[in-house]
Amino acid sequence: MSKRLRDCSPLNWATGCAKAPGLDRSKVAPYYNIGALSIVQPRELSRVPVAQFSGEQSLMIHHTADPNPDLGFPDPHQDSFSKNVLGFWIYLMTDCLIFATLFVTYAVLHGSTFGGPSSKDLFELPTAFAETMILLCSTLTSGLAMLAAVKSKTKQILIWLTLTFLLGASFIFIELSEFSHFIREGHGPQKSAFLSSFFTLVGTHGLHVSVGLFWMLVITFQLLIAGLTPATFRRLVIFSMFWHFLDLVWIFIFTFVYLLGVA
Amino acid sequence: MRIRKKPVARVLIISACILLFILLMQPLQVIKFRRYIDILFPAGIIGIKELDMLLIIQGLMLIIVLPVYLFTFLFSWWYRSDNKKAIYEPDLVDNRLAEYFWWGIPLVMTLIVAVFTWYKTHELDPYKPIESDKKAMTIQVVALQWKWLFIYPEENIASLNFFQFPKDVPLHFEITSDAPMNSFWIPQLGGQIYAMPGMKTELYLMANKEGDYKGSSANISGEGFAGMNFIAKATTEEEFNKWVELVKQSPNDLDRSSYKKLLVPSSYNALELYKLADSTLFEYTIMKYMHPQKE
Amino acid sequence: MFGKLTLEALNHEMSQNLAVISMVLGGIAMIALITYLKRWKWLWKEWLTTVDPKRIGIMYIIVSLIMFMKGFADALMMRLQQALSVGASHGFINANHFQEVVSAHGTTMIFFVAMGVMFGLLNLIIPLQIGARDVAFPFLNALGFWLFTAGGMLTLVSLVVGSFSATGWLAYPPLSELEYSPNEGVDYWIWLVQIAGVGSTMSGINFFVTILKMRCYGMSLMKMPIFTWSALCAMVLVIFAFPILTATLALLALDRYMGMHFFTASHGGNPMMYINLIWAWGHPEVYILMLPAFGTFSEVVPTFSEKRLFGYTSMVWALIVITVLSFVVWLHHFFTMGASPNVNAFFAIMTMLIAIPTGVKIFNWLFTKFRGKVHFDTPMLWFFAFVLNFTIGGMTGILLSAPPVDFQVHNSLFLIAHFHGMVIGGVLFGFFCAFTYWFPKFTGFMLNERLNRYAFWCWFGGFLLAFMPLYMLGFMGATRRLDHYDASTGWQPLFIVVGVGAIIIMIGASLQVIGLFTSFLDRKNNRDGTGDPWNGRTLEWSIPSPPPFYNFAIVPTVDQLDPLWAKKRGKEPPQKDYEDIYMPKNTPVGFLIGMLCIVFGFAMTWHIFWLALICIVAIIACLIARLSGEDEHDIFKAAEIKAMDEALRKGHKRV
Repeated sequence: MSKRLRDCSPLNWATGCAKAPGLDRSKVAPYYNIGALSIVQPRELSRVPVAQFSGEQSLMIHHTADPNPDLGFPDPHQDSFSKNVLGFWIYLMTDCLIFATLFVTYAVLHGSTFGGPSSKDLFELPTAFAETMILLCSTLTSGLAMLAAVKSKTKQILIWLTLTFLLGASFIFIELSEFSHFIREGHGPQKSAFLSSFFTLVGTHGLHVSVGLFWMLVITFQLLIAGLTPATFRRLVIFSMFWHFLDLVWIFIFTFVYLLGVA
Repeated sequence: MRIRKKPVARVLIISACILLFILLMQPLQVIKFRRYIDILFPAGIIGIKELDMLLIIQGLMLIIVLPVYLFTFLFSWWYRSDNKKAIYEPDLVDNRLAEYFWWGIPLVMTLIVAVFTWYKTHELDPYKPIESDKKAMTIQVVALQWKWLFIYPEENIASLNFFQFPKDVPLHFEITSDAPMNSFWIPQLGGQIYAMPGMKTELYLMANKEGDYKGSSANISGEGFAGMNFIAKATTEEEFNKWVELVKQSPNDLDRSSYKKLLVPSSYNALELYKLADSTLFEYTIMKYMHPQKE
Repeated sequence: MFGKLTLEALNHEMSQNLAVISMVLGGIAMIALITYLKRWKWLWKEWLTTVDPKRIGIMYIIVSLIMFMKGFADALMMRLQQALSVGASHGFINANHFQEVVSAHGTTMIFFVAMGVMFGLLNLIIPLQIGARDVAFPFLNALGFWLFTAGGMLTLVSLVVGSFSATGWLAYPPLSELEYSPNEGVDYWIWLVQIAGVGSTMSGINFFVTILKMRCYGMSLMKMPIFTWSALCAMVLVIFAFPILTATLALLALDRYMGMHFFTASHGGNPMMYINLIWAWGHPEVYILMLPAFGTFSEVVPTFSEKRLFGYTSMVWALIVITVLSFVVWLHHFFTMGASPNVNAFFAIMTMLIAIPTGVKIFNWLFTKFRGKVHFDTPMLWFFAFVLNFTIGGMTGILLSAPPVDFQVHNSLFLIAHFHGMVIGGVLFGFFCAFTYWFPKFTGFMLNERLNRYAFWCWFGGFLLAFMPLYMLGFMGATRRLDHYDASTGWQPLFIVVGVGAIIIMIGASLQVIGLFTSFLDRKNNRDGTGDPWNGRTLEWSIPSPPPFYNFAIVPTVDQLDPLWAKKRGKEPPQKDYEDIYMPKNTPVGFLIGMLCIVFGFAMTWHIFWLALICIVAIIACLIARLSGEDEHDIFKAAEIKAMDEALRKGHKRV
């Protein structure tokens, strides 16, 4: 096999130490040289003269030094921003299908109460409404965090992100109290198919929201350590897609499970 | 370029021989095993109609399949690389007419088969009663672990792994399961239908001839499911009535408690005959999955 | 402390003990060999931590080969049991064990052989065909492979510790619920299929984005090789279908672990729901397996007919129609479940419609041969066998799609014969075709033609002998998965014939494996120095064999279909110049997560929940560590690449 240029063993991926001979370090913004993180610059920005990283440029699909890129064909220069965003849209589609399966199961099983309580007896709309409002607000704050990111204002990002986290956490808190209330009353998910499908559908959404909360913690941590870099910006974009998607799913849950369940 | 010459003739001849051998084996098998091939020699009206449909669709399919085999052999032989007589046209990549042909003809054929299938599916719906001047006889079927229970609600008798009925009388089966999903199948009389706990499926069959017909479960339901074989016996009307009288004198009663004994898993059970002491047994078997029962 | 795990789990019947011992000895032998050859560091650096899709593709095929041996051993056991177990004799394994073997056979073959070779081919071929250096998400790709391997390893572990599911390869409830299957078998099945399924979804997303985003200059969608089109359509199917499997298995797991009632018989559960959901996944799954096989034939037939593929546009549309239609036919797997005739007839007609594009494809291949120059090399032999065997399966498929006919033959051996015709005649022969066709590309030497031709005859004839009598057995009322039957059924003679057929197939498969070894040992004499032994037409044949790690020194520029064919006739557009190449770094995270998943699946099966939790935390930690930090690449300067490229090409006679 051909010789490979290696400056470090594959185990040192965290410290990353491939050197790029010929790269003029003076043109590279200082935040690339952060301790434990890589100091290799992604190709797409190696020839863009930028003193301060701009989120707006990451929104361009064709990341190339060519001033007149041929937009008729996809960028073959492995632009990781557009690839990752497309990839995450596809992942969201698979997640959407998982929810679709759970919705369909709920639709089929929601009448199978085995003699127990039905949705009309159990659901309380004020709780669901409060959850909806909280989630809608958190979508707003996460959108504002994205706007701050495009303007490269790291402190604002952190503020909005924290608000999103608090709102999301209160959503989870309310949902968990609703669940524990049902269970204490003897209407746990083991009691009937209807209850199983309700707890699973709403619970899966809650699980996704919890993952989102954890994700926000990790992103906050990364922003504090590395600041806004092409990679952290990309991850923020992807996170906000995820968060908006979860709000969309909740709208469906609110409509088809709670509103129609009580009607 | 490393394309070596290969003996095409040998490949084509040997594969043709293998195919013809397999083809020849089919009618030979039918002749040798005639006694056992239930589906090709049905004894019930439903089975006969289903076989007719099979043969018609098979015939229609051959219209498309035979040209495929023909062209495969023909083109492989004629256009082999060392055939100087064949025309070589490397840029022949499209022909509208050909595309219309082989999108069009299969589409037309499929539409024909589709319309035919639509009508036949409605005609042969398991839930559709069989037209006859005789009144249908109801038999309730419960699939258990790993045996079949047959309940005659009108005659008030029941039997295990066996049931008898008069020929030329439509049978109306009401089928459920008190076990995992099974499938009620008597190949020589007609098609099967699933037996599912908490649900009732229906099937109409009728026997045209007297005989002992083998039945089985066509869906895996646990360790002993291979032992879920039963006999469906078609007799004359008088013999059937005599048999009913015989069963009514059986010392065994089928009620809730003896039914519970049947729920204990066992396989390859011998034939049993019962008097039906609880006529709500079939409904109970279904309803206990739908609502919590009192006892 | 150890959940449900006790020493009893290691207690097996003699036949299973033999399998366990041979497997363990095989593993020890492999470890000893690697140690003797002092290749541990090489293994780690070059294979276990690689993100190179060429290496990952080879690993997929190796794992699939190992799993094939297990699946085929299961098949031989089934044939032997069914040939012997008549009347008073109950064969050599008991009913429960037989049902475990049946379930393991189906699960292994579909999830770990067919899916494995399919993704292996995609890894190897797609980047080369679209003129790319790598896939869109190299780490995700590697992770998908290791999850696939984790599922496979769990299958092998289930042979040693405890027992496997005895509910068939799709675990229908209520049989697979706690009430009727209380032991660990179904749990093993749930976790290994779930893990492998998540891996497949990841790979699906990866290849979809790769094909859309990473084609070379000038390669618009309608100038892509048709194998790439078939892969794109298959990945659309993966993306839409596998999440259904993930959700459904999760629901079954909730039933079994948390006592919920989705698919139980009582408390309102609905087993029919499971069957609908699992087949809504299951039907697209079989097309996921078939479409790349079709794509392979679309590459092989033109190459060996020295003529362009007939009706490229029509073939692409046929692929798209198949993709769309495959989502509206799932009910044909359970016509007998008692749906109304309107519903049954609708799905029947949809199923018949899907046969049309398939037929179109076959006609297009045949007419590619028309007025071409046909060479009967081994890949073309496999295409020939495909047409002959697959057509029989397709014909019986139309028969099965008519509900009244299906009522008689559903779940009988007629059904088994049909789908094995499709999977062996279509998918497996397609894989053998691809394997013999692209083998010289990735190894640099040719396969032993003679042994492969003998293997071909064994497979072709053996398949017919092993599966044609099953159609007749189905007509004789033989249900599938039976471990014993009565002599009065008259089935035994045909079961014996079928067993002989299986042995012939075994000889064929052994010849292939032997052929692989002898070709490897003889590689110096079989070396292919041109990179293009078959006079190919697509981009992968324009680079040396085996391909350098960067695939293409210059990203190609194309302006028509079959770009290499155009180049050979002097019609190549101007190419770009050498430039710096950025290649992704290797990473151990994929391998680590795969191993953690094996432990996780094992822990969940045996209810060792503290261990499962530790694994989840470790997996999350690995992911966070991997997904932090900036993008990293190894950089190779243009001058260096130019030197490497020229050195490689000096050894080649042309191109």
